Amino acid sequence: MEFTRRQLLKFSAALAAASAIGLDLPLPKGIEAAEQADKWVKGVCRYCGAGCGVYVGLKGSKVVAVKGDKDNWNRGLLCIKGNFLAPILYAADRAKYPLLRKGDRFERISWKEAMDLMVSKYAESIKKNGVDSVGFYGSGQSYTEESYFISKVFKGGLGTNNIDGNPRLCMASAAVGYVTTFGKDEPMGAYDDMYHADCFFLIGSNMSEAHPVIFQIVNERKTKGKDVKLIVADPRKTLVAKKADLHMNFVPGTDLAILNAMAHVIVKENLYNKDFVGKHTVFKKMVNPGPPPKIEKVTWDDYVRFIEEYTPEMAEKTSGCPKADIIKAARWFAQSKATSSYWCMGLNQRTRGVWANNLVHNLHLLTGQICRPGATSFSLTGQPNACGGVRDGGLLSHLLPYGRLIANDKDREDMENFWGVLKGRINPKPGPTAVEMFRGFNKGDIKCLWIACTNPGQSLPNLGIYRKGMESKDTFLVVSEAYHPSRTSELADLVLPAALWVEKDGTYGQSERRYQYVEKAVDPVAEARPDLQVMIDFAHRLFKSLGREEEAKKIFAYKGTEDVWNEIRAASKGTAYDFTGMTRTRLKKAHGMQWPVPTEDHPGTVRRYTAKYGDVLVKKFDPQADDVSFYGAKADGNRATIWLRPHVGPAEPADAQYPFVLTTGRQLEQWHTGTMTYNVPELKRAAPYGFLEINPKDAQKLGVKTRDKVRITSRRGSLVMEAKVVDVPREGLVYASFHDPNKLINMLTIDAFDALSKQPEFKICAVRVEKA
Amino acid sequence: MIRSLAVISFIFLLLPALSFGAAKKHPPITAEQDCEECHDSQAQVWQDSKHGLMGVKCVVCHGDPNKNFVAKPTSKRCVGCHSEQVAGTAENHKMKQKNCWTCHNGHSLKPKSAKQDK
Amino acid sequence: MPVSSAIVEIDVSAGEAVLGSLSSMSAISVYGMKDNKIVIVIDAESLEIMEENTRKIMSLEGVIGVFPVYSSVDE
Repeated sequence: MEFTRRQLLKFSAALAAASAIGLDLPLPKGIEAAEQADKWVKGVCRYCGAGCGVYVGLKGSKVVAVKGDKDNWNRGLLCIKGNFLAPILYAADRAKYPLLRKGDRFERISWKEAMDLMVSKYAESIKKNGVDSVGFYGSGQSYTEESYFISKVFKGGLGTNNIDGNPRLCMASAAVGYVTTFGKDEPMGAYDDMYHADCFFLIGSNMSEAHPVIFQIVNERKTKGKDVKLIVADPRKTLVAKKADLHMNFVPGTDLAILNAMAHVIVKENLYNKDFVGKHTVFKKMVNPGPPPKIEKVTWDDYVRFIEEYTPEMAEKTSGCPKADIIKAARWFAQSKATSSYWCMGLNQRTRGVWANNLVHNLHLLTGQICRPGATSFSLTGQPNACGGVRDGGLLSHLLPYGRLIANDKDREDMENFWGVLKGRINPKPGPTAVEMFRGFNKGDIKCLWIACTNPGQSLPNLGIYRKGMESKDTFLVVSEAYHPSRTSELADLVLPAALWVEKDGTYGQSERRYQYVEKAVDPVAEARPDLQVMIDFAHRLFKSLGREEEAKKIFAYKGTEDVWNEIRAASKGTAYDFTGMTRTRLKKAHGMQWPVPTEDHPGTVRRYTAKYGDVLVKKFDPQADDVSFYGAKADGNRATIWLRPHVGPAEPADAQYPFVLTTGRQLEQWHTGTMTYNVPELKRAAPYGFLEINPKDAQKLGVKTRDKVRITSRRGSLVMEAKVVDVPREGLVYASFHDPNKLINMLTIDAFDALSKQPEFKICAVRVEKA
Repeated sequence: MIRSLAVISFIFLLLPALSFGAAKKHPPITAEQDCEECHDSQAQVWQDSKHGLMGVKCVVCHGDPNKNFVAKPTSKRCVGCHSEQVAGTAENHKMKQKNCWTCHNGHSLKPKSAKQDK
Repeated sequence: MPVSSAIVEIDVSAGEAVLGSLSSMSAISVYGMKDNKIVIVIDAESLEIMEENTRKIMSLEGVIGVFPVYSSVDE
């Protein structure tokens, strides 16, 4: 940005001449030329699960700019966060060296010392207390190669399922929702459906802030398409709700009643697609929640009887959403040429998150609004690789790679053979899920825990009790982080500095089954290392100290990310995910590829479960099918399930003592726990700190104005924040974003979780609000 | 020389954003202050534009008022999303100083002939 | 070293050609154009080179005149 005296002189001279002829001169070229990139490297945005394609601009060995990839789905567009990616690499608080806790301080140590210590702690614990005394907590921000590899080390190598990740906090309900309805995880549709939809049904998604580029495409479709309807169901009047043709506002936690009532209207008004329902669906209900849950197949008549009670009147009474709105939404949904649903954490972060997901799928199956352009049931994702690495790659404690399950004998045998490990090595019992894992760490059942690429010290619900466990001197906590201190690394015994984003290479998989390769552009700062390199090193050293050096040489023989990627492709072969044809060379050229990609000449699959629109796996798994086949659900004759899921409210509704509902979420300018975005001056300026949104009517009752300090208290914790009085949350609801490391709103949230997905109910807990 | 100094000072009066080193000063503001507090009319126009809808906020073009403020942003600020168009202006127009704002209004983004803003 | 700015008045039909020629001259920077007037800055190592450039511009086809606006010698 240097602007020399000479350049100024020239500009001054030009300005004098320009003003003589009335010409307006912009700022001199010298200012912009200084930071022009001389090389552009293809990659993917580091932030949300939209997965925008980017080019990273280098000047010498420094990243100086980022621009959107015009040939990728995002058509060159980026949101405010993606636009400012470069500075995250050069932040002052980057973790630069391995650090060891000494009392209240951290001391710099060498990588060798760090790895020796970590390995000795893990080995000692395994020898003394067994493999279930150690664990790993991963991330939807790690590359697929990292998540797949570490999962292999723990599940296939050590034989423990003590490995889970933060997608448990954000995507688990969507994943289990897809699996229970369609047999396999991940959406059948794509972003491309947005260009074809005539009706959008958004529920529990604030895409205007959480996924701005997707929001832009929805807007464009609404503006350019003829009579395109946008329905937004949300207890907050978000920007996208303001743009909606119909905003269905309701009491938080009552949406299951609304979704069943929409189905009621669709059935009663004969708006359902008899042919589709007859050919492609079965009906089920849960007789006993278990575990294990007892499930029974039922009939169409049973289903009709089940939704009988969910009249629009009943739903209005339960939810506060006017019955006219419910009826209108149901009609638009069923009668439009093509309806697409989009949801995010509003449905997932709930104790009935899986059920809510099932009920949205129900609407698509009833109406046949699925498996054709513009008609799809689509879950949006919050992290760049929750889908690709953790869900698909099978890092979660109940999963094995590519749709295989820990609890399934054949799947375990499959993976044992594939990995070349002893038969019976994989523990048949699913391991602890995120919250359970940290409960286990609190109790000391897990003695060594390695957290990589995520910030549970800020993002777990009911945070206070888990921070105590992480801080405990009786257990050993390793944190691999790109920044220090984070609210997690500050609690660690050992901090390992991690290479960030384009300082390493790997694969990201976003919401629409699109896998994209992120090329390495620059070397890591100081002594930071790519997590995969550390993981491979750890695996070899640990197995050596367990006396299994030779085995490690065989099963962990990787030189770099491409070796791991090639094994991953092979692991997907023959599954419903099959992306054998997605070679590294192809990914380097392509602007993302959507699986299935079964062969090297296959272009990728935009829409799944439909032969007519190009899914070649339909013919493979269900040769009789003429078009649609839900081949993931083989046991149900390749049919999807319409579930009888009753309305059940939240774990902790508002009451006399705690009269408000607190909901949390994301704010446009900040991402996740703010470790990256708070390092960008422009973003920090635009959204400097967390605040509490309060409805004007509630604010009046409380005697609170914008910028007043308010104390917000739940049964678990209390926090003072600034109030923002704004007509966004409905009456009785307050909202805070969870990004601010200095305002840990998760000290208040509840750790009750969904019985099926184990995903916590971040979105609803009861609080008291008073002027501080 | 005296004449040239006089001209330069005159230019500084015209363009307070230009001075040696700290080229782009904005009066210091507190973390609590929003741009709209002082720049309400521009914010209104912006709000109704595509950038307003997409949340491409003031800082994207103007930077942080306290740290890297630019009063009159250059096309460099547009590269993140509109790299092709920026490259296009450089290629299509031989004049070195042509930029996005030659044609587009900075806040409404509408073509300048529409005279929507300012 | 002298810096000076000037307005080059041209025949509009020759605009592209003149702009092209100006851009190819190393001491000349084109800052903008309005109607048939182009704003240029001549950044030269000596007064001689500056005069030489001015003459060169004058001789270009389509150039009506070169009118200096401002000049300074940076020491």
